[in-house]
Amino acid sequence: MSERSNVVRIARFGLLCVFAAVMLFPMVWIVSGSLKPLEQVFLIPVKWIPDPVQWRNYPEAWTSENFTRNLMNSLIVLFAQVGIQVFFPSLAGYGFAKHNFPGKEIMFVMILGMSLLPLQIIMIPLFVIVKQLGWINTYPGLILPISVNAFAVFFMRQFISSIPTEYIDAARVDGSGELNIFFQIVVPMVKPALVTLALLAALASWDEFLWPLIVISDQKLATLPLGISYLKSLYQAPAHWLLAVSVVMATPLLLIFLFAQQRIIESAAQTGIKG
Amino acid sequence: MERTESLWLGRFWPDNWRYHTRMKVVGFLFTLPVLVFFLVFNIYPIVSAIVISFHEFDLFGPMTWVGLGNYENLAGNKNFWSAMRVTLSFTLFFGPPAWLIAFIFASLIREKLIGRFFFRSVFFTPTILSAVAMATAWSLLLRQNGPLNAMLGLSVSWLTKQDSALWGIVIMSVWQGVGWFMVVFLAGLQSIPQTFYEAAAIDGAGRWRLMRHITLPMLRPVFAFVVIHTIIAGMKVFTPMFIMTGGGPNNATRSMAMLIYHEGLRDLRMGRASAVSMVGFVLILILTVVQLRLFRVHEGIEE
Repeated sequence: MSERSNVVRIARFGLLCVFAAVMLFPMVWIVSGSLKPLEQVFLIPVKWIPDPVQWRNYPEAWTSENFTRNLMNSLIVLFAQVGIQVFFPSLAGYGFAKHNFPGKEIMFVMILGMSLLPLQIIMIPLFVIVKQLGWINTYPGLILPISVNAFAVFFMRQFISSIPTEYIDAARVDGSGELNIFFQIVVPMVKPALVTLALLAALASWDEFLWPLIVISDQKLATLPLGISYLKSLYQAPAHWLLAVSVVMATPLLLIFLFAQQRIIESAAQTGIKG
Repeated sequence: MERTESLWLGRFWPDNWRYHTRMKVVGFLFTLPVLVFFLVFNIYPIVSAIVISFHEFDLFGPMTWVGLGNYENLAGNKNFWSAMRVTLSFTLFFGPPAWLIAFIFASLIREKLIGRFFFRSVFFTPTILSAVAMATAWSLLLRQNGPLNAMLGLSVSWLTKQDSALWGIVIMSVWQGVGWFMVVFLAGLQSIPQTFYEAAAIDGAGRWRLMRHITLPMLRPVFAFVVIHTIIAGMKVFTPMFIMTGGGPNNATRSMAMLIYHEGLRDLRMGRASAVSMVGFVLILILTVVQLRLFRVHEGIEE
């Protein structure tokens, strides 16, 4: 190992540490601020370690709005959306990957095209439709219209295509019905894909803001992101409370990320889970 | 494979349907739920957006045909042009800095290094954290007496001044966005065969030349992907504006997506909001065509 390359190595490491500090600084400030007495939040120079540590910010912030209710709503929506997002695209993926029927290609291309259609573009007519269905301020309205995304269909088709058709044909010769084949052969073989899909759906559902904002005006049906936005919109909402609920909102995402880091980063690189 | 035994729903088939016909129907049935979903919640809305954009409609009264009226109105509407300008500025101020920083991050952690995994996690974490929660927290970080100013030795009231509000949102977005770009660049970098570098190194190429003549050209398709995604992200950006500034002050941060929301769902001018949506839709279509072109070229080279 030459001396020069060691110098480069150390310089690179030092640079990375500086960058990491810059990226971490807001997160550290947020967590530390959420544990401070209000009058210390904006002290300059910044007090990084709260003293005293004021844990009660969390229960106080939590009860300042109806966050328990919001959390329940968020969880209901999350489980429903994850279920729908995993089940129906998998069925469709099996249909597209292992069956032939007239119009299949056109249908598939059309569905792929839908992945380019952001909610921002169709929110007005979608709101009108949901209103006509009588779904404003209801769970179906909150859950269904954004529950399936085209990427999931594409993703499942890719995975199911990679299953050797011989397995499926063998089962067909044995007289298995197609639904049995789906559940007993296809599903077990694409389990990793289903887990990835479920994780991505959970991340997206937990953080979805625009759609709940559009369909929900009844605070009883508000999800966590809406609840936070209500607290934020109060005149002079206490900063330490805002930070505390932000931490609560972000922590499950962080945990999912730590638990499935590789999976999430890989699919992020392929698809752009954000934005 | 000519068979007649029980298929899914076996008993319910007309007796004279042959196996292949049944299989086609079964295949179609598998895709049916998703098809219905997209018809109801995507295709019908986009068609309906086109129709509404030619009408005046306040959600409660009847729809009145106004032809191109809404579009004519947009052409001279300063709110529309302001939203387009905000969207464009956001994209320009957010994109290139985020790409550059992400590229630097990716290059630094590309090779083996102590703590590489840790650094990647740290840079990516903001991307995964809730957009709503981070926008909320950043509106505090960006206060005049907030920590960002304290660290930088400034005293800008970022989000309440017309000329700095968008910058405040851009700073937050870059912080949240670099992780994703970095991961995309890393994937691109890892797909470059190591042998290219080895061959060039034998020829005596230095670091800079490797970068210029191997890395950057090989990443061209990745750059194209990233640019197009950034533009589309710019057209979609909503949450940070809504939470941090509400589109203000004086509409200085009201993006296109926010204008659609305000026109349609706050002011109940569905026609005009749909016309703005259609402008966005056409822009996205154009970008998609460009993207398909670029990627086809790229695939052609790879094969």
